Amino acid sequence: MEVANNRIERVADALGRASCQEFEHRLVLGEVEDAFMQVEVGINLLLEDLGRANDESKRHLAEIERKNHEIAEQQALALRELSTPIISVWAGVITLPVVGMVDTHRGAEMMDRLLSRVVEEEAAYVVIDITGVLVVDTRTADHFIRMSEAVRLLGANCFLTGISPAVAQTIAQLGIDTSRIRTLRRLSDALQQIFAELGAKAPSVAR
Amino acid sequence: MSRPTSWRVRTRLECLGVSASLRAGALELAWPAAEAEELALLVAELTANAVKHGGGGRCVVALSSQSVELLVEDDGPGFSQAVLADAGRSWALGPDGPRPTREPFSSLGGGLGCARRFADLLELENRSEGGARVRASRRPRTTTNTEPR
Repeated sequence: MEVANNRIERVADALGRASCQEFEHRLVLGEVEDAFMQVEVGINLLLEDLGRANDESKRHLAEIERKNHEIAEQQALALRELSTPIISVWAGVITLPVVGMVDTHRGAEMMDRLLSRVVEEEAAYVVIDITGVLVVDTRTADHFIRMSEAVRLLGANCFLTGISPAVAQTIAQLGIDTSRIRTLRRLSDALQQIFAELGAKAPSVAR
Repeated sequence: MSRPTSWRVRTRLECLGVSASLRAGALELAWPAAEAEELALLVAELTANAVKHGGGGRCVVALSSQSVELLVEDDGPGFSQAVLADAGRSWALGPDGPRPTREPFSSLGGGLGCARRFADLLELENRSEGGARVRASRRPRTTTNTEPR
């Protein structure tokens, strides 16, 4: 059977385009129904199927992408919650135990959340405990100092506890006035001090 | 020098993941704990910038007991000329350059400064194909008792 060269070329062209993810093209069928037309019809059907499958997988990918985005946003939200665990230990007494790495982003978030909690709970005492912080950048150390200043400006007493030697050095290097910051060694020391000031009976604290 | 490890960073959580991996790797190679923590902060700041300003990027880490080399790239708009010129030397940095140091209680714009303090070498450039690129390197600053250098 003789097949015109241009028909073969058209088939090759269609297959070539398909390999480049282009499935819209269809072979134009001739008037006469010959054996090669069955090949052309078959290729048209194949292109249609491939096109549909391709659309489907694109939709699927978009869906996965959307889900990923959703998960990432949820993670960010959870992370924000976890990175600043503010605990009310007594009426008007809140503590912020900081554990782990504090980079500039977390530092900024902490400040926002702590200050709004102080206002919300009408806190009279705030203890920022940084026992779990090994190292901070000078910028973050400055942030902690300003955070305690800001708490004081809101009318609450602020204690900074658990300062490690490395963090103490960093704060000292800042060369700013820290005389107004009340620092104590342990979180429990601050709580005892607060209970004493509140006139409440301080529970005995295990050393 | 061990084989470099490459990560994709698209979310804040992934940044913290890279950071934790680097800390663990450094501790394993007998870097002092405080310095391992500084490396964790260094990579956290750089990758956070890539996520925040570049919509995510890549981070390559080459770590040994003698040195660490970091490469962080993103596909965002790249650094402004003012940021390239300052490169974290000022206390607070915005797209138009250094910001007033006593700006009220904002810690924004401190990331590059922090990275500069924790790295021995910090290089910023805009990639020819678009996006930002930061290279940082550092050697241990204190000697450990366990491993003579």
